Amino acid sequence: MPNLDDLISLAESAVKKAKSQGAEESEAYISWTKSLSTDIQGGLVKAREGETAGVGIRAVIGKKVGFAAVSSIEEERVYTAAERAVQVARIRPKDPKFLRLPDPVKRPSKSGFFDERMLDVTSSDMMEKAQRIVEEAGKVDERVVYVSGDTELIIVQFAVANSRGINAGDSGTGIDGGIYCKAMENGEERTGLESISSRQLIGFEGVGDIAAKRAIESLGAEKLQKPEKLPVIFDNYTSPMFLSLLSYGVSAMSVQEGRSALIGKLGEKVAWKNLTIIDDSWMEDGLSTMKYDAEGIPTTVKPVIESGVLKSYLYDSYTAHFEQKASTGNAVRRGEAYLQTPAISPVNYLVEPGSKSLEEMVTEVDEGLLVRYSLLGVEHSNYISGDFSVVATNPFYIRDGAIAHPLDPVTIAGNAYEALMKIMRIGSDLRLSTTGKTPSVLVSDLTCTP
Amino acid sequence: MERALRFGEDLNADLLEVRGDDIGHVTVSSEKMVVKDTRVFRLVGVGVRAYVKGATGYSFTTRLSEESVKDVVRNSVKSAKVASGYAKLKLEPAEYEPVKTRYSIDVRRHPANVEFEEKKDMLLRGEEAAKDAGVDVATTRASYGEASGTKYFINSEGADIRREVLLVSIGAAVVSKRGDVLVDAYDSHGGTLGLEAFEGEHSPETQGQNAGRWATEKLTGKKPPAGKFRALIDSQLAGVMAHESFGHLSEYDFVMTGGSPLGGKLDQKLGSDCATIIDEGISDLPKYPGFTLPYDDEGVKARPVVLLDKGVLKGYLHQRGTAGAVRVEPTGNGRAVDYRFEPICRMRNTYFAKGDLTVEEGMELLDEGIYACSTAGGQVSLDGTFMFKAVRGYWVEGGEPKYAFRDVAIRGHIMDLLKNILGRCNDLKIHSGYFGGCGKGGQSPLAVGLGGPHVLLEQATFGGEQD
Repeated sequence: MPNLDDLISLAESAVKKAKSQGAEESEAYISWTKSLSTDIQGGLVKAREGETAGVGIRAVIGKKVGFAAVSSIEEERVYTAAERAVQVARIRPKDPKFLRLPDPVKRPSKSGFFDERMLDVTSSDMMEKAQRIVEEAGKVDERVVYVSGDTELIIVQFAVANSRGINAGDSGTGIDGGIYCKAMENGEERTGLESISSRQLIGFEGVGDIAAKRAIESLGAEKLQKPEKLPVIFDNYTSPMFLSLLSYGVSAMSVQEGRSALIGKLGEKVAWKNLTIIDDSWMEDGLSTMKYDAEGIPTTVKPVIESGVLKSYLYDSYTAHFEQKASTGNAVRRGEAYLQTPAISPVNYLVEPGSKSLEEMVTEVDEGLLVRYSLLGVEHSNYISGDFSVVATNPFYIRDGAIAHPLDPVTIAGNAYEALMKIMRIGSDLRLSTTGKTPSVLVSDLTCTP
Repeated sequence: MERALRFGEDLNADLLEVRGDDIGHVTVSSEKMVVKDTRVFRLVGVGVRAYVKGATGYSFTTRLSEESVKDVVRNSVKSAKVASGYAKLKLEPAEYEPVKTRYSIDVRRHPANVEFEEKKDMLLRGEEAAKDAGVDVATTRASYGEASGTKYFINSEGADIRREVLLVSIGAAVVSKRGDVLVDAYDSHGGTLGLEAFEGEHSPETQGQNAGRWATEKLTGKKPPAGKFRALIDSQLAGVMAHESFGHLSEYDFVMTGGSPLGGKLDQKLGSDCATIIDEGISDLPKYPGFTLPYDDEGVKARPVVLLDKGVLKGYLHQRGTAGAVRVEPTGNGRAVDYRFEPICRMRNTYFAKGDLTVEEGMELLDEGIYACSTAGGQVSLDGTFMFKAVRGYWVEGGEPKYAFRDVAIRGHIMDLLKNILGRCNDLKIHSGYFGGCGKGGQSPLAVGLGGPHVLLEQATFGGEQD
């Protein structure tokens, strides 16, 4: 793992290089990622490890922002990227909305958990973990006909510096284990899955067992009789859908450009009165927690929705400066981070939990659906309008406050913003995922199509 | 790369493959007639796969010194040895004649040789047209993306392939707002193309006009219906249906491990006589623009595979390791997103073969039902359930569109939806592009082509909303 101070100095020298080439302002973002993964797909076995590193540079000449990146942190190639960013700035037209790169901000912030033990994990360790997951699943029931398990460990580090004096960076560790099973009986096929992610080294005990049982419990499904509007409980695997759609609407970029459904709704009621959602960027075990955002701004903790009222949009420096505001520390660079220019996203959503368990929530429903574990088509939703039409792979029919039987796949359609208003209950069962920590939710009146 | 390979020969792997990428990217976006993100970047990296006793190890790096590439070779063999202790099913690279070749892409106006000014102008032309064609426009956007460069492949059997890659996309989008109703529409074109392809029906102006018109229709559109309806789907949706239904589930890693419902069903009739689906590497450019892939990432010639022939399951998609395991010819479907990943069974251009109806005849045969168009993609589950998203649609009566719908998911099951195909039109198109792509096993987005003609379905499940 590179030394963070070395990465920061390299970013600073790239900033100087861009300046010497004629940039009025410049910023260099460096990311380094090491990954170790194993995959056991029904007996086919793969192991993989490697590292990537690179730099992305923004160079500014009179409201013209050029970006260039290269998959290397060797000095010479970093400098070439800096020159290229300046060339791009020269040929592109102005963006009148761009005011300046961010100034350094001094305020407290927090890093997430960094597990030193992850540095010493080998591919045999990861293979053993994956093997344990698939072995467990294989022992559950002979109706389980397919088991595919994988594990991945990631160590990331980033550094960012700009010509206004920002120089920051942070590191993080993460491990995840997942399994996908299929059970079959009398020609009926059902899937079951489980996945767990953590910043700390964990062993994945019970992960295989639970996934296999989920596939088995969905066997013997019946058909929903006809399309109808029903109350639907989304468990804590499927409920993050609403938050991912909300993220688009609370982005200041969507708001400023006129493509958010939440324009003009600040301070207004946009959700059920008991819904409070915080962007908890300091969550120690949060999978996206970093001390600084992707522009080097200290991250913050703030309510997005408080008791049903919209409290804040999320800003990076570009959108914040446009409104003469301060960035909320929500600039992110997703995927292969050094290739990206900043976008806006919550860091970790924390939904304030209710008092009822999922079982108790089921007892409150006379007739409705419980949708568990996975939905197809969430990412194909309309993020602008919030319209969704998703397929529940493991739905259950609730009658008289109890689960009656599993159902064949059901399509569930509605609008995420309307659904926030139609929430009737929030569970106590927070689950950690890349979205943050979210509980099960009960939403009334969604069209369910067999 | 060659020195790394020679170094690896002493490490006792059954087969070593070394891949190198050197790909340049340019992306430009604009919104409300202002050029926004303007990015150029170059990805250079090396990845090595080792086979040991039927298992594989993979390692990769962006550091190109001889020492780091040797480390990568060492790590790949080490990982493969670890993996081999757990393998119950074995990948056995199929016998093949190692190829030594150079492949270049021949387009008239290669994007890498065209000035930035022109690319930027194409975006603004698209936005301008979108703004003019739209009503109650909240915003217009346009995007341009290109990737071009060289992929290198060598292996310990003597293969040596150097092939050029090229992928380009241009698109225009409109968001319209009336009261609290927010709608959007998008049109784009892309594939392995020169910029000469963005003329006429694929010009930025046409894209902008389409986006503006479609968003306007959706402004007064109704909520899509819920339930089973007769439907005509356009070539984009037909492509996604082919990809998500028979495409993924015919990938042989899913089949040989028991994951796919298509295992053991070769030569069985699973669709109607109209259901013919093909997956191939090189599309017949420029007639059907798509994604050009002459060799896969394992050095295998990408030959066409008929998956479904008049409803009968005829083929599966193989990487070398699965083909060898069941002693069939490799098909050239071993593909990786980039140097960070090992090749696995993936699609290339997947499409429904064309039929002989005109689109007008298709509409007449539909008579009453839903005409569904354009897509935001789809997804499949290993139980055979798949969905694909139509982003606009029309209620049709007497063969005439009556009013528009908003976005809706169409759901099906592999064992029954393709039995419902009543007819195919003669307007085959293949869609591909720089943006989006296919995801599997953590590898995303992989460039693929999707297509077909307009396809008539006797019955499809629309997951809309009741009032």
